[in-house]
Amino acid sequence: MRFLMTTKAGVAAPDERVHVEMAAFVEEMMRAGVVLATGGLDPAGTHISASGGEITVTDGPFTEAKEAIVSFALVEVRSKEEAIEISRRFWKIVGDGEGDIQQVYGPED
Amino acid sequence: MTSQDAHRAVDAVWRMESARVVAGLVRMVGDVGLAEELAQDALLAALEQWPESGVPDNPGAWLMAVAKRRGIDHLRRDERLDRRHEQLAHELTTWEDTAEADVDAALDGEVGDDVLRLMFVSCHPALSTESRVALTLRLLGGLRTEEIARAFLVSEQAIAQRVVRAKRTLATLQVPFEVPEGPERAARLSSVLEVIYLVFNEGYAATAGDGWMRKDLCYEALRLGRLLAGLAPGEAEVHGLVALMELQTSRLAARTGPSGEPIALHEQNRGRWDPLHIRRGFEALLRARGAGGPLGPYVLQAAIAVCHAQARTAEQTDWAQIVALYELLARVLPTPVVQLNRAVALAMAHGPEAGLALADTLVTEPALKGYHRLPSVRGDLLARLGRHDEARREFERAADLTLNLPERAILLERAAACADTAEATPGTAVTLAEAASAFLARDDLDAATVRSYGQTMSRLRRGLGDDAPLVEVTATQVAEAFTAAWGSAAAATWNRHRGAVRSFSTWAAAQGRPTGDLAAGIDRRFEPRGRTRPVDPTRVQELWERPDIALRERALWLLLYESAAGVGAALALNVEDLDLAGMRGRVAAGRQRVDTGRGEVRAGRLGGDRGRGEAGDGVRWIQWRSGTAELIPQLIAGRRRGPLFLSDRRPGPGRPPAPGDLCPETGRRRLSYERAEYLFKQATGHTLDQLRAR
Repeated sequence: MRFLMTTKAGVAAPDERVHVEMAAFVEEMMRAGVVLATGGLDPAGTHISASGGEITVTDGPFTEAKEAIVSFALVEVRSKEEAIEISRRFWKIVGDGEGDIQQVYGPED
Repeated sequence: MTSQDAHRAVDAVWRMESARVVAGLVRMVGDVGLAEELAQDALLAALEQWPESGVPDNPGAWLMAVAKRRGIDHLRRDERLDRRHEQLAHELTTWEDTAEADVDAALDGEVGDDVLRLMFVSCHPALSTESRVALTLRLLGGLRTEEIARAFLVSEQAIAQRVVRAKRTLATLQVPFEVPEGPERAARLSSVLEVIYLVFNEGYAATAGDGWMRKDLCYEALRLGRLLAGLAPGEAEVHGLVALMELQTSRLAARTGPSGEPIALHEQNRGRWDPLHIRRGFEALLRARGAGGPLGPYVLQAAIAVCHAQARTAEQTDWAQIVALYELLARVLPTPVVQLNRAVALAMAHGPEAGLALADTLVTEPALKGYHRLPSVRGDLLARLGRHDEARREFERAADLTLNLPERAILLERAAACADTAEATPGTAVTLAEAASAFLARDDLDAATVRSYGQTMSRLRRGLGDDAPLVEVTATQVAEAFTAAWGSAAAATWNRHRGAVRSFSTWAAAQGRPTGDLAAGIDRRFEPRGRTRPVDPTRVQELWERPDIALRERALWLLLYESAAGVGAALALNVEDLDLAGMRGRVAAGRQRVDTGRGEVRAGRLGGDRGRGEAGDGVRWIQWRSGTAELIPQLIAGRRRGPLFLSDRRPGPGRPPAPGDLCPETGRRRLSYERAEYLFKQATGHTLDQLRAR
């Protein structure tokens, strides 16, 4: 099962310790094949909407910055609980903040 | 948290941590059975306590500490407390005093080695294969007995017995808890790899049973493989196995149809292959090659899987390379199944006769007796050769042997199709034109493929005649028409049309109108394999028709396309060096000096230019064709010397160009490589190198 884990804006900037622990954690998860892809996201981004065949493109930043997704990890695990457990370990390192875990469906699901 | 949620959360942690916990305990208590019991006690404790207290910060260390405490209790209760147990209890008590931080360190460092030892022990050759599999899934995978039973379609009791037997055997033989060294290591490692691949294949082969749990077995095997690769990074075969499993996993979604029927590799929708697994497969194979050593069976099988993964369409598969890899594989793994796969590859590379000759030698092979793929492969090859009665019998035999119901249905359909064709009288033979139209009217081809195949078929029809009966068309005739049409075309063009012919042959055979391999007389041509992928020919054609392209860009792009010259060499052309009547331009001697430093690189690239001619006196020419020749006079616009391709503006005062890069008549500088690339990228999204490569 694949899950997309995302974190929202508002997490304190990582200090040296968090940085080192985080790097070790991600590396371990990568090696175990759990993390398929991960990265940080520009909170500003570009908003795009389609309506009646018309495409509207708006460059950020936007007012609801707290809701912006600022990082993601795509993980492959055996159950939702395992994804939660990985997320739990992630937040133990990072500290306060919030995010989401969503199952990713592929062609076989 | 409901108790069910809590239960599942504990379960998830257990699966992630149990291998390390059990491995650490085995090192301490020296007995797999006791270690597992202690670990199970810890799991029960977690199930009792975590719903109330929450999951501890370091669940692995928590489980380990509890298991150890239970171990001490257990030993103290044991009435047969002998000296060994006394000593053990003492050791455990001492160990209990160590701080949790030490436990962490132990879990991170040494325990990694313990997990590797545990793998070698649970895959010990003294155990039966099925016991090894059950024990490994339980100890290393953290699976419960009922889950293993469900995956292998046997009773829970049977799995439990296998595990008990295995533990007893290990205890009786006093198998040491270690990773063997020396010559024994290789044999033991291959036993570990065998168990992992067996688990994988149990999921992948789907010989029986329903889908979802089988797929989980594939992922479980992958997890074990990656775990092993992390613990034994110097072993090429471990990475080879991981690469093989990643690449096979990438096809999971594409390899069965809506009703569970298997879809052969060459018919799979490659858009459904998982690129993340493919990428990890490539990476694992690179690590395998990096580890060095002779090419083992897993590395070779992974290399074959890479050949398939690299082909964007089935027709582009490099079968010659696959045949070569199978020949190497047959040397290190001389099994009849490998030979059978080699026969399939041979048929794809050199025609069905070659494949059938090898497959026929396997008929008496006892190991393949009862294996449905042998008659299935032979049936396919016989049908392609037009021997329908024999093909039908083979398909029927294969259908009898397979346990997979959807596959049986497909085999019976093919047998029926063979019977129909064998009965059909030759008088009803379709013409080449009719067959070609039907071939192009299939609804499973995208528009670009239809256009491309359409070109091929119309040239063949012109060469052989619309009324030629399909059954009378021979590979030799096709080869002649082919050489006449595309003999001097680029390798990619040649191979593209060749692919179309092969696809047509396959299609005709599947329609019950076998033609034999019409491409048998057409050899695949070598395509230079760099990072550069050519721009699709249809896109190039569209490019020339676009009205918004300026004269200079149009001339440069057409020149690169027609000449296949290097970008740097083309930009370095000067007006005075052009031979307009001869449709060519002389490459500036000592261009690297003219070219402000970066020219060295571009000069190096020039060495591979296919479009440059080299006269006897060492002068190099870029040769173009009529499209470019039409545009160049307009581009020169009366100039007599200086750079052919000029930038739009005069240089600013700060950055004077080299004298050779300045046009004496207009004062403008030579068009820079960067600017030329930028303009092409803006217009097409491609790089100029891609335009040049064909």
